Amino acid sequence: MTGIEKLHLPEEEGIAPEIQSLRLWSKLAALFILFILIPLLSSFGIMEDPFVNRLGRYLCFAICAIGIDLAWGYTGILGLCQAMFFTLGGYAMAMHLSLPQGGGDVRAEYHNIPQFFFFNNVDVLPKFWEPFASLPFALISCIMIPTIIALCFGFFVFRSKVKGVYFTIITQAIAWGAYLIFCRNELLLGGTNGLTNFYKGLNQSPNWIIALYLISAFILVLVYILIKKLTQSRLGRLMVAVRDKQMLLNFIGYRASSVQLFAFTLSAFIAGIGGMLYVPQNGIITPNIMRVEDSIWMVIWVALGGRGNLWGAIIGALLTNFAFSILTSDLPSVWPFIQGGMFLAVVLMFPDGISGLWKKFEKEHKKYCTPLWRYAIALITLLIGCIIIKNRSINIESTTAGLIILYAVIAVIIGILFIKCKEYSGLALLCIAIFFLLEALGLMPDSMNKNFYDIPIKYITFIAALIYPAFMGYKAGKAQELQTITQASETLGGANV
Amino acid sequence: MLLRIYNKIHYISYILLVILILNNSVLITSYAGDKKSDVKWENIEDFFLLLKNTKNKNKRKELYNEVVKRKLVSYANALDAYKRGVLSIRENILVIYEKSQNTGEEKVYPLVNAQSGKKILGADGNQVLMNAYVDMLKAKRSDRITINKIVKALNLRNTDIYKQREAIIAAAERKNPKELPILKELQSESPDNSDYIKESIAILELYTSNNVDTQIQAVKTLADCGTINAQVAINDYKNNNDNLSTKLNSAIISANSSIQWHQKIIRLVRNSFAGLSLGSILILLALGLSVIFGLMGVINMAHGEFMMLGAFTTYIVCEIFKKYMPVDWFDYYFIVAIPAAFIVAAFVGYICELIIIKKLYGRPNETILATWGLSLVLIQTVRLIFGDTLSLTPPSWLSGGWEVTPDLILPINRIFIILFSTTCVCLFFLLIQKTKLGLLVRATTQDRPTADSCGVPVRQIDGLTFAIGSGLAGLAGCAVPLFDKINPSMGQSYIVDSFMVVVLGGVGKLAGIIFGGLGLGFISKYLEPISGAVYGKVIVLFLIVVFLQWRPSGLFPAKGRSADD
Repeated sequence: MTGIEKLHLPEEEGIAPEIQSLRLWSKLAALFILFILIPLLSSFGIMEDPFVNRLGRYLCFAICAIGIDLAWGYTGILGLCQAMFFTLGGYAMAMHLSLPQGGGDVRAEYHNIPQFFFFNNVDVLPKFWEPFASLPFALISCIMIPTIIALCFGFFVFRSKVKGVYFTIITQAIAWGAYLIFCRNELLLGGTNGLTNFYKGLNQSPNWIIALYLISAFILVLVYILIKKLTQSRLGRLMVAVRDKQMLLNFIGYRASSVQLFAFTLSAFIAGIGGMLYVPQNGIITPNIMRVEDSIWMVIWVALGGRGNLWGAIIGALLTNFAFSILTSDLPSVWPFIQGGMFLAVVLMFPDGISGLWKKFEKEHKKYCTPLWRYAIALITLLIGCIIIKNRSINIESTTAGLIILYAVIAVIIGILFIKCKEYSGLALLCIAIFFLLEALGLMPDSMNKNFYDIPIKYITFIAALIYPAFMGYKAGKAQELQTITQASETLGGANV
Repeated sequence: MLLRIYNKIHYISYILLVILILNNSVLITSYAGDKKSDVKWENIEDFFLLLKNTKNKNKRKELYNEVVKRKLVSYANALDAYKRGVLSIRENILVIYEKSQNTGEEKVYPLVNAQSGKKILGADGNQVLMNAYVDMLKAKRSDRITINKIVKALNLRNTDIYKQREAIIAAAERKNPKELPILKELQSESPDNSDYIKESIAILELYTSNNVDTQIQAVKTLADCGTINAQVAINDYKNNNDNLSTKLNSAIISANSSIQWHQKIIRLVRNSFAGLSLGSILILLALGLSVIFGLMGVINMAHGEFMMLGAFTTYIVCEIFKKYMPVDWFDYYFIVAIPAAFIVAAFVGYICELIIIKKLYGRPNETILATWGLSLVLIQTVRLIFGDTLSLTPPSWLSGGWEVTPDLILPINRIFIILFSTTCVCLFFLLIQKTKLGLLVRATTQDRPTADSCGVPVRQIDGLTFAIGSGLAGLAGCAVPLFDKINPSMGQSYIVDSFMVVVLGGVGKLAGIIFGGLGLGFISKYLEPISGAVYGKVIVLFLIVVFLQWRPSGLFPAKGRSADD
């Protein structure tokens, strides 16, 4: 056994020091942004509350994405009912929040129970609602309901060796069935209207928003660290083995189905946590976010971030959701094309997603070794510039000149970096970061007053960031194809000899 | 206050009384027909002008009676329109303003001939559309009830079978003993509706006869009919009359049980038929899916969208025939639409295979994502071009139903769908089993590397098969608009079901697909009446999960070396 363990050395060992420091610094930067920068910007009023609220919700999605990555990226089981587990957790929390004990908005004319009961002709609180009045019970059931359902379902499905695509199709059917049931009023969970009328402050008062955001961020980091530890453990390596060669593992004497069941259940557990945190920040939950479409959408977060890479899943979830919220307000009729294009592009052109881009950046960094402070200075200059523009309250939304100045500054900084360093992937990442930074500070043109040049200007950085990796990914794919062909011809040639 | 209400009630009851008297008098006078009258008119236009100019109420009544006496059945529509106030005379022709249509911002009323029911055509060959009511002939308020009765009496002799049928059923509901002789007279005249007439006569006899034997005979006749209508009539009679003779009572009880049995069988047949037609659509869809998956390992989430493309092609062909082709040809547009739908879906499928699917062989999980993206793009493209919901005008030979018994009418379009998909499946079977292409497809499915090394053009086979599979979905799309609306996301509602068929049947097995499709269709249609549509669906999904416990790779699992990858 020792020999095998030596073969699977953890990848952190034997890594060049410059890359180690890069990773350390980027981790610290991420933590700094999450826990210090954003609360600070928000408390100074530079970052608006709705944005922090949105960010908090997306962090919950990111938690869920970690679960998907664990099941799909590491264990190779693609379930399309993750949105269902997420929503189940959300519903348990929403039940607590809509009761008076959880601060729900109930009225005497509706018998002091949530209002939708009145429209379903129910006067007394149903029995199964009663325990949700206590917060601990609600919190536990948020996590346990999805977990138990996943355990029962997974037990039967994995026991009968339902494999790969069959599993996907069945989970899709389960999600669909659950959606149909949750749309019914007989379930006494609000039907298609869902549960709402929580305590208004939860997603409106600044203190609650920042508190919930910090809780979400903290739990995200916690889940990330724990799952990271798990994937580095023996069990984690077993999961990868199940993904790569399930048959072989069975022959060695492991029971692959147990590993699959574990991963699937754990992913449901994590999705439940995400749903639990999502509901108070969103203020409403409806069956509409548990459709099959939403589960597939969740998978694409992970695919875009890079499967088999936990932080990639987080970044993917954040990026795609911000893109969703920005683009659906700007170009609603084009959004499905972009969404569809995203699916196609991720699968066809850069299967490694953002994490692939990062890996390339690491490689280039090792080669050219641009000092990291240059990136830091670029970002900090931009940030300070943005804050100054914002606080001077120059109405840049109406004056295109102001915008052009801003973008000229960005172009100069990027240009200097371009000339000075050759880490193109790093620049692409920087472009994406700048785009979302501007959006976060509310410096993007408003979608309400669409000028002829506003839209192109707005997306210049983003398009610049996208074209490069797409092009490089395409080139890399070509090169890989060529390599396999050469290899194949070599082996064939060898056989002939 | 109270006094006022009392006055009102008084007033209403007075009106009711007048109505009652009017009713009876109209019926009595109309059917007795012994009064002589000397009113004369030549055509329908004259009649209505005469009606309009007659100020005396009784004179008008005479006119109405004359219509019934002369059995002028073609007046029924015009009289009905006269009552509703949508009748008018235009260029010396009596016309009816039909229900308004919205064209852009203004409302227009299409015109039809009051007597023949044909469209009134203008100089340009299109139907005349009016912007507003002009010179309307309107019935007096007091005449309306009379006209109602007249229309019903006329409809009893209507040449249109369906209208006559309605009138016959309505006659049984009125339970007026004076209508009995007319119905009996009708029985020999109209053989098409003889079942309905028999039933109505029996109901009238049961309710109005004083002779117990006649009543028992009527109950037996009703039991033979076995319709829900008959059952309701019998039960109503039993509930409203407390002291029935024991003989009649036992006859009613036995009739009831026989009707229930009859109804059960009819329900079974109806559900089976619905299941069969749903199943045949699913088979058409799942066939393509299954072959594509068996051959290339591609899970095509965009398969439903190829169906949608087929449906939109059918719609386009229909619109082209409406606009540019002679009117008589319109009924045959389906003959053009079927190959067109196949070709369009197959072509788009081929292009997609060429650009996207080709790069995804052997990565089934990724194909789910990529084809899902493809489906989003296709849906949005179609939505931007055509808008949201459309509905197809089916050709006239596909409307109506095949009447097995009075209670069991099988819609022609469903029968057509079943025959259509049977033909397609047979053709596909022949293609796979008997042709060279089919041989190559089977070879590639069984063992790709070996087939490749034997010189089978594997890539081209893949492309062709994908095109044929998409074409089959297009054919399904040709059939679906016959009973459903067309919209860009219609494919999504069928895709989960057709995946279930594939899972049930086993991948790449024709027999499995047929069994799976029919099984799913039957089970869901049998469960629907018991548990409601939604729970029926959920139960089906649950049953499938249970079924897979027993047979993890479907009814007909693939055998051989590749089975266990």
